[in-house]
Amino acid sequence: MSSTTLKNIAVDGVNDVPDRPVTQKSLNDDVLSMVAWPGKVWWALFLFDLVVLAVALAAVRNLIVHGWGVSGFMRPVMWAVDITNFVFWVGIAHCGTLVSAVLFLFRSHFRRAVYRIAEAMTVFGVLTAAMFPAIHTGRPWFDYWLFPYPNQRQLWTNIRSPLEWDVFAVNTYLTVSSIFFLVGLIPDCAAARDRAKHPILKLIYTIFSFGWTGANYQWKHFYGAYLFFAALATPLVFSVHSVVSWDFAMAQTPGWHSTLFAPYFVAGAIFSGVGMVIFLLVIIRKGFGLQHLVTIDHMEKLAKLVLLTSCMVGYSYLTEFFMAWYGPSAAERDVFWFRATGHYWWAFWIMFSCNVIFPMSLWFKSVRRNMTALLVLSIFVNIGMWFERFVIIVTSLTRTFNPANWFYYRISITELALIVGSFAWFFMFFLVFVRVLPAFSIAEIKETLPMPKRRAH
Amino acid sequence: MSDSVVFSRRDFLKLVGVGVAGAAAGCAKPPADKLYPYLVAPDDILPGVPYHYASTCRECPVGCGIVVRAREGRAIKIEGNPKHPIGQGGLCARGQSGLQGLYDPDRVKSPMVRNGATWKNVTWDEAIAMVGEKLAAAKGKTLLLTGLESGSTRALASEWAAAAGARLVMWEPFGYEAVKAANAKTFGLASVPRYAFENARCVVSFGTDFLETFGQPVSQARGFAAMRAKHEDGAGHFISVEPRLSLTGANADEWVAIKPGAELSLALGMAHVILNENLGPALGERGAMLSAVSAFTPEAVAAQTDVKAEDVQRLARLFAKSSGKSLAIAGGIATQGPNATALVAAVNLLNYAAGNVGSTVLFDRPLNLDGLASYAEFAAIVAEMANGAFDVAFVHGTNPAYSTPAWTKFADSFGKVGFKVSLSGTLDETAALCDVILPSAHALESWGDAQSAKGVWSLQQPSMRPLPMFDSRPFGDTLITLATAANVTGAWGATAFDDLKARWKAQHARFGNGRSFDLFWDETVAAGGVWEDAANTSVRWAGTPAFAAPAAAEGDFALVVTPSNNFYDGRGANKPWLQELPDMTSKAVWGSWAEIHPETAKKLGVKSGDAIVIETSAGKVEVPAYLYSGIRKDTVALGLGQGHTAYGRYAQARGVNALALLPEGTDAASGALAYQGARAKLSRGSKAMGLYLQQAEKNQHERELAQVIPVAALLAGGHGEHGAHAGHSLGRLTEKGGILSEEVQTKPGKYTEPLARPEGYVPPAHSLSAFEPKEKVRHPKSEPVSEGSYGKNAKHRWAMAIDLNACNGCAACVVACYAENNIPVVGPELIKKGREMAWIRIDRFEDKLDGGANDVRFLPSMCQHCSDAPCEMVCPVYATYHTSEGLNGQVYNRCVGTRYCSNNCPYKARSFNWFDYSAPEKTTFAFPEPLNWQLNPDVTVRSKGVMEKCTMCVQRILEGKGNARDEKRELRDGEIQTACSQSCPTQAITFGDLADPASAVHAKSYGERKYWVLEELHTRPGVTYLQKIQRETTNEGHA
Repeated sequence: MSSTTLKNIAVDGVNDVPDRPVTQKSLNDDVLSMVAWPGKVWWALFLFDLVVLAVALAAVRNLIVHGWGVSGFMRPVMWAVDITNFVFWVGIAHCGTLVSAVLFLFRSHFRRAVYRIAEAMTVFGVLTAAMFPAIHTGRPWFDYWLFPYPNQRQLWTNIRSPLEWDVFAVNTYLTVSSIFFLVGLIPDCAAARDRAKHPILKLIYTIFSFGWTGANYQWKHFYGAYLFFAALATPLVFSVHSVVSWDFAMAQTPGWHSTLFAPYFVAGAIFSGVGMVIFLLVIIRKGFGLQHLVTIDHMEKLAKLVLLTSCMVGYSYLTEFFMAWYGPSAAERDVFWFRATGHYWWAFWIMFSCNVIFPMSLWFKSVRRNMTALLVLSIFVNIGMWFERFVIIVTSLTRTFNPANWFYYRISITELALIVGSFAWFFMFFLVFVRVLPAFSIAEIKETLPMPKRRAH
Repeated sequence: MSDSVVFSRRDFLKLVGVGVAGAAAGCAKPPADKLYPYLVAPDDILPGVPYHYASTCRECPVGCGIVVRAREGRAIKIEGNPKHPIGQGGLCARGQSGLQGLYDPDRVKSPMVRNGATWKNVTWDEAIAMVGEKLAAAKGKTLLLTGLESGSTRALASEWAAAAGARLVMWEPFGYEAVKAANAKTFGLASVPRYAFENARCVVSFGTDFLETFGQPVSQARGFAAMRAKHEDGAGHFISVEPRLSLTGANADEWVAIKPGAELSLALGMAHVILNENLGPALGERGAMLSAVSAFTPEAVAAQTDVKAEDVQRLARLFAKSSGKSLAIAGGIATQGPNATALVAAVNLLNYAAGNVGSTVLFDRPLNLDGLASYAEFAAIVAEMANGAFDVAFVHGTNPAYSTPAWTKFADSFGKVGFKVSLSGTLDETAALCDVILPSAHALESWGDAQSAKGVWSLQQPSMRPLPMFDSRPFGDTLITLATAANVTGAWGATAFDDLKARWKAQHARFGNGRSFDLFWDETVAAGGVWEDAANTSVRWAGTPAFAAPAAAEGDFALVVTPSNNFYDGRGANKPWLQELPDMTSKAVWGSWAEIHPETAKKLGVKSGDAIVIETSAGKVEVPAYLYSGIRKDTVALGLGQGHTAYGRYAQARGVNALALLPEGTDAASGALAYQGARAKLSRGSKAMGLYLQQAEKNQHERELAQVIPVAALLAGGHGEHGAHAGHSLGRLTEKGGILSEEVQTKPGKYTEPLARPEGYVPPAHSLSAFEPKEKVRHPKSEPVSEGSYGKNAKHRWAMAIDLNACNGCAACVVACYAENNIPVVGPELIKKGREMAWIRIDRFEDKLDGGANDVRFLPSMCQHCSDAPCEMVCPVYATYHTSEGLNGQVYNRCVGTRYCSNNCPYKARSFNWFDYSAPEKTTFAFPEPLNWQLNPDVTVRSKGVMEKCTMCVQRILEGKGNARDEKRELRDGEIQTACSQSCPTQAITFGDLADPASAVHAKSYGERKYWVLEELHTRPGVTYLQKIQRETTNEGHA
């Protein structure tokens, strides 16, 4: 039995086996060949990405030099696209930890093929998200005041403020998810190091492999550490987005002030994150020809996760409306009626269609296994989730308690630049990532491969 | 040797390099702000100590007493003079904006001579020599055209005119000609009476904007508030009869949407009912009067006015019920049409028939309008100018090229005068037509006086040295030097100041009481003038004019030209505060708009803000439409005061001048210029128009922000909207007619006893935690931290009570706040976007506005200084926090600008510095030199990116506490006034210490009618509102 197909081996009774022969060697070859000097397509994408980013940086420069007046913000809508983007990218960042940590603890082995991409997305998502609270302040050069550092003036931060919770939640999440990401990379970086020819690359991989030799005790410690970080990261999946949701829920603005927000936001975050993972995977497995590593089965499982979270999000929407109708507050009722039928009705219905109506097609197996359909749906999901945050923030703020203050927010070119710029910033990292670090976990996929047998004498 | 070297050279350079790099990277250049101390300190100025100068307001002919506050030699604020009989401490928005006339960056910088289409700067000597020569050569063909002057300035001007052979003409567009003419005819006294609202129980206004521009608005507002205050029969009744509901009318219980121009018929119809049914006092003239009004039966009136016959009778009976204590008022620009005098005469008859003359219509302190030219006289002068009767004309204090309609041909005729000299301080439309400009100093930087009402002699003293960047001279000085240059001699003094003093010898003789003149003078200057109690001149009915029914109007729409509460006749338009101050009817800023009824708009196919064209026989204008339910469907209203073609950067090219639409016409009886009576055609416009609304939504959406209490409930000792109807929309859970208000915690300290609760008191559910028993939650130790955190030694809880029943929406407080707190003016585009910076705004809510029972509510809205402030909880850096004295503090230095506080503020009382309004190098700079001279040094000028809001004038609190400490005494209640409470003409705003049980604010905050805005949110504000008293009326509307 010289060539082995994974199909022949049932791992924990789960049939998640690529249908092309994968050997220890071909796996190394497939994954590490991605780490190579990029071609024209990559460079074209990367340069385009940098141009978009430059435009966004020009917008940020305007914001800092002239003030947030260059945006469309005003009273009462003092947050709009800035915090929409923040919540959107924090949400995106949630899937990575879910896939890598939670599913690891639950021994869902389909994660092995997809978790590296998801983790990278997490780290870059948090990096993107963290930009927005930083630049959205009126005086960004004083952002460091939000950190509780000892100072002569004995000034301290207000730990009652949900924004302060955000500072801690996001920083904790960034730290833990980065460490988790880097720990998981160690054996693969060692593999890359062993193959790398270029001295600089070799140096980078040497650093990231932390002296990995593949010794037995190292594997022992590695799995111990991995389990530990998985356990540490798991509560963060729920806590970080809960804290983000409390930015709204702790305020008493109608449309924000709701105990539903934490679970609602976490479900939404996983929803959008899985959507983003699907989007990236569909492109990468096609672009690099890795359909045998990331199989249709894997994708279908992700699609089921989308379906599940879509149902949860849809349920939350309906609950919000029910509570507004059932509850005593006229202001709350008014805001929800306004949301669905008022000035921003289109945003609401984009959100509702993309997040609840379209994903219902995933009840059909044929749709779940159709990569084109998944790609389109994943784009819809992310559009829908961006609009969800927009709807929550803008419609609620537009329609607050005193009608004398009702003004309608209009997006300006500055915010459009911020939106596209956030994607450019994210993809800048991601494009570098796929060419520099192993985008799939060689070590973990190898666990599903049979041990090579010695030739019979 | 090498041992002695501690550092090697290489290490030293490394360290230096690190240090320099660190310094260069880490530290931005600090802002280049410098404080220069006095090198030689002036004797009479203490840095940091304000000086107050009593003076007289010259922004309109009324002449209220003012006190100008000056710091380091600069006037920074104008307030009403509480001791002065005119204004009594209140001051309107226009008066307070006088500062921006003083510091107008577009004031004329030096004398100028026309040089073709441009101007050439000259020295005063050159200019005086040149003009003096012309004056000498004119030989009696000279005209001196001024605004209303009284007192010494008028005496000097008329003596000067007599000596120089000139004609003195004083012209005011809002000249009360119809009132004077009607009073002359009916009472034999050609003057404008004082309307004693405080004595009245029922007021019917026939289109008179007595809270805005007519008469003495500030004093009248105070009297009106007294009339409306709680009384044993509830509050006084106010009915407004006008085709378009004005700001004054918005305060009415009932709006009678009468056919434009037919107000006269209703007045006569009411008089007819009263006389016919003998409801008034016994009058000898009854028979004559009845025959004069015999044609005006209720049925006839109904046909002429669109007011139902039974309403005519009802109104008449209501009016007569308070016979002797009722007041009908007419006059003013909004009714100055072809029958203006007849209307005033009719209203006089109505007042007389009801026995009000002598009780509510008093001739004790009439406005002093002596010598004011009538329009007929003005028109004669214009005709003479056209005929070349004048070689030289001097213009000062009036701007007829703007403020008279084109058909009067003033501009053309003025052009025919050989040599025209403007003595205006600003380059207004009339000055722009002149050959020479000899800029006059502003009233706040020169001496003068006014005798604006009978028995009142007010002094006007400079509150600062003349501004150095403007080489101007006082008007009187210019006259005197011109006379000298032209070899004209007179008995006047060497300077205007000497002249003034000399003329005040007469007042010294009268009021000196044995004091020396110098002592008298010093004390009078300090007091702002002298005044005496004026006896009422009682009048008898002198004669009844023949009344004709108003002619049936032709044409599509009646055009109502409305006087502006912000701009008066247009002279206020160069002040950015007044431009940014929303018109309190439409809440629009910085421009013109036409008010049309929503149904009219529907027929025209226009939406709010779309352009419409108003066309009359005189011309047409294109303006944005404002959809207003407070106007008849056959009427269109356009405000006066905008559409300047000159007059500085803030006035120029904003909106349209409504006078351009006026066809030739005068009031038949008095000859006064007719502002009303024009008919207009409306059509859709094509231009893109800017309608800049500061508040677009005027419906409360059942939020119960501005609350009312029906008279019946008030008299029954009940509560307003809380108890009035069950089933609250905002989740108030104690529907059992109970009191919802929680008592505000006033006493500081950790072991404060809980306040006594009424029997069966149930705190709102929101205030209770779901997990704790009620008793525990309400235990004093469990009071929220914001209350418990009063400092151990804190003695005060600063608070405010705002009486919505007294607030009439005049918005004087808004301007006071702009002046006190250095609030930047941001311009129309930003206002429209919702980026207004005002710390206090007057929200206007139109709960019912379709004729009949009228329900417009004004809600002065500012930071509520909540005890449980939503903003404080969410600020991550404690930039907003609770002070130990109950204020909601805002530390600009600490603010990072997350704007979370604003998002969480249910009152939306916070404004954000979207741009850098304080940096001179930025295009967004809001205080171009010398407007920045007005900035209050006690208040930070905020920079880009920080949040700001009402501080309850914390600088004034500190000043008051400091004064008390210096004098080693306790603070007195009422000693500290915020800018808004000080300026309020009706004293609707009470500021004080809630921890002092004897304070006025304590009494109001715990008295009847009190409520908190959005109290169901449990913010427990420091600002308590008092419900407006609402009268029921049976009129269900006609529109």
